Amino acid sequence: MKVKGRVTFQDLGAGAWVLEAEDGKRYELLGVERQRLIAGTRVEIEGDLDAGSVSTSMAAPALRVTRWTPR
Amino acid sequence: MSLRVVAVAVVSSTLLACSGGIRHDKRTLAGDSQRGRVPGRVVVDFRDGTSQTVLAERGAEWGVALRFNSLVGPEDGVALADNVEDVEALLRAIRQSPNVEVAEPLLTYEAQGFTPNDPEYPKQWNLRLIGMPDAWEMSRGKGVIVAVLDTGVAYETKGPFVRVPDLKGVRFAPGYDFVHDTDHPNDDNGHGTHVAGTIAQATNNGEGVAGIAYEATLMPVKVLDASGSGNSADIADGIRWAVDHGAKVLNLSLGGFGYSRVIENAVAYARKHGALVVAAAGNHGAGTVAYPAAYAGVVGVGAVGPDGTRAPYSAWGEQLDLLAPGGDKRRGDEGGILQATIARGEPGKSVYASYQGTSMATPHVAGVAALLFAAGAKTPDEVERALYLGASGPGGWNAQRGHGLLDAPGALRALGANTKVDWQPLAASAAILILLLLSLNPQVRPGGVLNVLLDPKLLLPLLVSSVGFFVLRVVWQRWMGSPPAAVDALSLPMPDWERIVFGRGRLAHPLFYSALIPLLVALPGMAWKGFRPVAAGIALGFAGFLAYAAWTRAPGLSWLPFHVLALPWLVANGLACAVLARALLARREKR
Repeated sequence: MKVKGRVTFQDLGAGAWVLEAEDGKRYELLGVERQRLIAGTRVEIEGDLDAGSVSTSMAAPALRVTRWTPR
Repeated sequence: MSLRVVAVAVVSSTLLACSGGIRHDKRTLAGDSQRGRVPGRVVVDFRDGTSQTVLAERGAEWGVALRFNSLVGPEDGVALADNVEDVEALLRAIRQSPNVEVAEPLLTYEAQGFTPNDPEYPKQWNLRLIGMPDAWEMSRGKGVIVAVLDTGVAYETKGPFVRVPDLKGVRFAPGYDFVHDTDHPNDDNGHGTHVAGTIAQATNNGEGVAGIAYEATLMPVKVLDASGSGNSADIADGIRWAVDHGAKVLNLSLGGFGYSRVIENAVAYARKHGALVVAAAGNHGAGTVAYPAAYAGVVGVGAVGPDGTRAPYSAWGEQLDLLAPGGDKRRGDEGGILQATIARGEPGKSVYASYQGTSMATPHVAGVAALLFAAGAKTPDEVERALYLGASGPGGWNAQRGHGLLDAPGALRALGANTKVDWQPLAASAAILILLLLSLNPQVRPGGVLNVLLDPKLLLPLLVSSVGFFVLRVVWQRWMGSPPAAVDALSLPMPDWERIVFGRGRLAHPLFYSALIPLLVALPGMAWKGFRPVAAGIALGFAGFLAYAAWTRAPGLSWLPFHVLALPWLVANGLACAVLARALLARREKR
């Protein structure tokens, strides 16, 4: 799936990176290099929903990122 | 019987029934008067307005120096005598004086409970919110293994990893790292160590912060990677491994949004083998509970902030069981949960960090579950029952707060008295009975309310259907020890006997919470008149039970797709039971 949105850091548990998509949905970002994760960055992402993923943040469904394009 | 008598009976039977659950006895125990005595000091309460002159005269008479206790002494007359050699002799002399209201040994009072000496303990509002000072007097979790299925725990100094100083002295059982398949489940994230600290941080060690069950044994089971995420296979394996290696409590401060049969089966395995699984409700702030908290047999935990209300991020919903402190950092770090852990991304650096989340709430429940096992609970059912009965709040279950806010001393006391019976449904039945009798034409009314209620043929079925055959469990516990599940289920009100058929779950079966059973029982009553009081008692009990369930909005019903349907279902079926009871009570032949 393709999705555009803004990267946010959620102070939940040890912290989580969440994409706030333009359509209002939220996704926990998996598989992104740490240095790319900067709160406020607007990005276009390609990836797959990972329904089997379990995490400490439990903030939103997990999106395993395969392509990351800053906008 | 006049209406007035009926009205008196309504009020008295309701009060009588309600009083069972909320009685508080205040008694002075033998020996209480000896506690806290200060040697050689006596407090004398003179009549109000006694002057300094009178005080000096009486002091000279009794051979002691008397002084008012404070600036209000000349008004309230409270004075002290110090350096008294023979306290009892002095008291005898003083009590003869007409100027004195009371004289007794001076007593000291201390804040109740145990206060650990950990320097950061004053910042742990969360531990005081759940009553830990009192609970620590009763249990500290000794000997119970609590598995922490998480990102690992900073429990050993090895390679790039360090043991955080405030875990020194904590007992650890061998764990496992399912992410890297090694015997060293060290923490490369920080989450797992924080969670483990809430459960069993080294406490009263003069360092850092305190933990709840600090005499319990921690078992680190790493199922999440350095980013804090993992998969269902590792979690399911971790659950089974922990249970097979002796864990009695499993803390899962993790969750996802996809249903996994593999994890659900592992949870059922844990429960079947006597372990309690506690999991986080989720941090998405919505009315759906994340998995695995949402599976039957898992205690699903939501979070509250320092003011005891649910935190905005905390999930809630039909699978929510309890609330516990998870923190609310909108007003700064002091609103979070403070524990020792490692710095984010730096496994070699120990820090004290304030976190928030249902992840933080979950280990509070796991810690208290360990206290309960250590205090004698034998089964996860017993622990769960004590957690829910002891929880603070308005009582009953609802989707917003579950069974209420975790209360550690409340749960420990509930464990000792887990034969508590909820009498309110019986009160509701009695009230319905009175309304039904009033609605019946006097010519077909079967008699006065007490005549009807005290007929054993009606009363026993009424008791069994509204409050349960609780005597069975009391007797079983007295003579045979911990009762099996079937006895437990039979001790419940008849609508809850579904647990014999369907096993335990937090949702009730709508066919059991309906007029179906009373209708089936009423069938023989059509032909056999002598059976009618029995059928009437059951219908009446169900009517009261369903009315009470509707009133308290509890519990949720399975199979009904929308939560909103549960209430009309309970009300309609309660009414049907009442109508059935009325028909069964009415005398067929007119007087």
